Amino acid sequence: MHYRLRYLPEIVADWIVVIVHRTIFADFFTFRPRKGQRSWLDAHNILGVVALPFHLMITYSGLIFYAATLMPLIVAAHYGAGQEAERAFYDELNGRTAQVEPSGVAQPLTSLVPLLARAEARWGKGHARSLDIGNPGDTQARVEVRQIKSTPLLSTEALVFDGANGELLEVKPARHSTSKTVRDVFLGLHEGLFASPPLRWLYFISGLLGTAMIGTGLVLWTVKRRQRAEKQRPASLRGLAFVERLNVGTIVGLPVAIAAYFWANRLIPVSFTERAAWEVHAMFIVWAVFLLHAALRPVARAWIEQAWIAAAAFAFVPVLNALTTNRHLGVSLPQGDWVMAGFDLTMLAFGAIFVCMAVILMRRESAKPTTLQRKRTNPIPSRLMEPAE
Amino acid sequence: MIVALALVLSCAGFVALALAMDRHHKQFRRRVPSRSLRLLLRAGGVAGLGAGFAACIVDSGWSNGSVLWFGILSAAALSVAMGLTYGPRDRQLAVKASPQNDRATLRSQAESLH
Repeated sequence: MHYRLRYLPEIVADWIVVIVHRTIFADFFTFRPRKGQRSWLDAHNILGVVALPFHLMITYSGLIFYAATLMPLIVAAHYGAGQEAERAFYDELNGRTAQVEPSGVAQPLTSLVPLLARAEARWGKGHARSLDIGNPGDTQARVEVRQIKSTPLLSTEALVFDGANGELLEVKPARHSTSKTVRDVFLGLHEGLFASPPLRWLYFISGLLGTAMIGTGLVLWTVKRRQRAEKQRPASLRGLAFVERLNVGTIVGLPVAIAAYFWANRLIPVSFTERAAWEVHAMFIVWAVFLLHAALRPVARAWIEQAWIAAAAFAFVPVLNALTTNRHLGVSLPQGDWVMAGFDLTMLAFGAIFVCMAVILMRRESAKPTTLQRKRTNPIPSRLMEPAE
Repeated sequence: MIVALALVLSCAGFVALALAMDRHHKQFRRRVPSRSLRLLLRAGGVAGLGAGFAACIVDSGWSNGSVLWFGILSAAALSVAMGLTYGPRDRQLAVKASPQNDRATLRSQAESLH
């Protein structure tokens, strides 16, 4: 869903800003906490620079995913305009044009077991990823067996069998041309499906760093402008207040909505036909509610209240899992089922992070009058808080 | 296990690179490093990161290993940055650091002190 929002160009812009900012390499390891705007800028820099390779890769490969949408004329020049033409292009690109027409004569499908055995003999045990059967029950049936993705290359080798007699018709190579291979490597890197568990965690951490970088950037934007506006132009506070509320609804409200998505996944019965759609609807409804909440409450209170709700929402995901399924932590941990247990534990970790956030915000809120006093009596810290440029 | 080794080597490399910078060197020794020590630390840092790369290649091969290395670099750099911020040495010196301890004045200050 993330790519529909199209914030990728924004990230590119963000990166250009960061790269242009000369001090980032001098400040590579530097984070100075509890110093207002300076701390937000430090955090923004560290989060950005540290995962720079990941961000460049994920942004550029994200653009490649949309190459045909962003630069439609190249495809249109050879295939014509419109969705049909684009589909024809992709079919040809992915080698799907070789599909044969059904003959209309019925013929039972050959046994798949020897086909799978033949593929595994070629690639190794457990290395067959998928079976694709075309024209089943026809004399022109085709069975395509695809190899698992074990490298960043998105495309993999595939074996095409005659579905009627089980004969190997074609070995589709993983690589067709250099340019397609370059594209497939970028798309494979973007999806990360080849990654081993440690690398998947690194993908996850890098993604979180990127999210946090954008989050700190959003807050930095408002912190910087609020200082200026309070000094010079109180009239500009209205637009600023709007952005501050959007920040609450996005930085905390959106995670709550994601937790709601997982709640919906557990609570909507499987028999409900539009279950998948309503899981998504639940997410957007909850997000809208939290944006509204942020708009109606005082900003400082909205941060704290939403942080507590987020903490509860994430902490209850494993509880819901335990109440509605039999693959909860009490089962998955003793069994060593790290895919299930890892998810539940990650949800608990998110809950803990939001508890920390809420506690820190509450402490700061109760200490606020003294901070303001200090600012007024001591001119040095406020001078330090001037923008770094 | 080799992945853990790659992470340790990369962390060590980044610590050496951080110590080659005036600000972080002062967190430990209260003075800036000499020119030769700075070069040595930089070389050591690059060697650490390089050794981490070698470990990644041994673990996962050229294509997956190089991807793994970039991920490990990110994790290691962040760990070192957080260590330098919240590590015990820093907290001691942070109390003593004057509010003017700005990036621009740091170098001249250091030179005038020693």
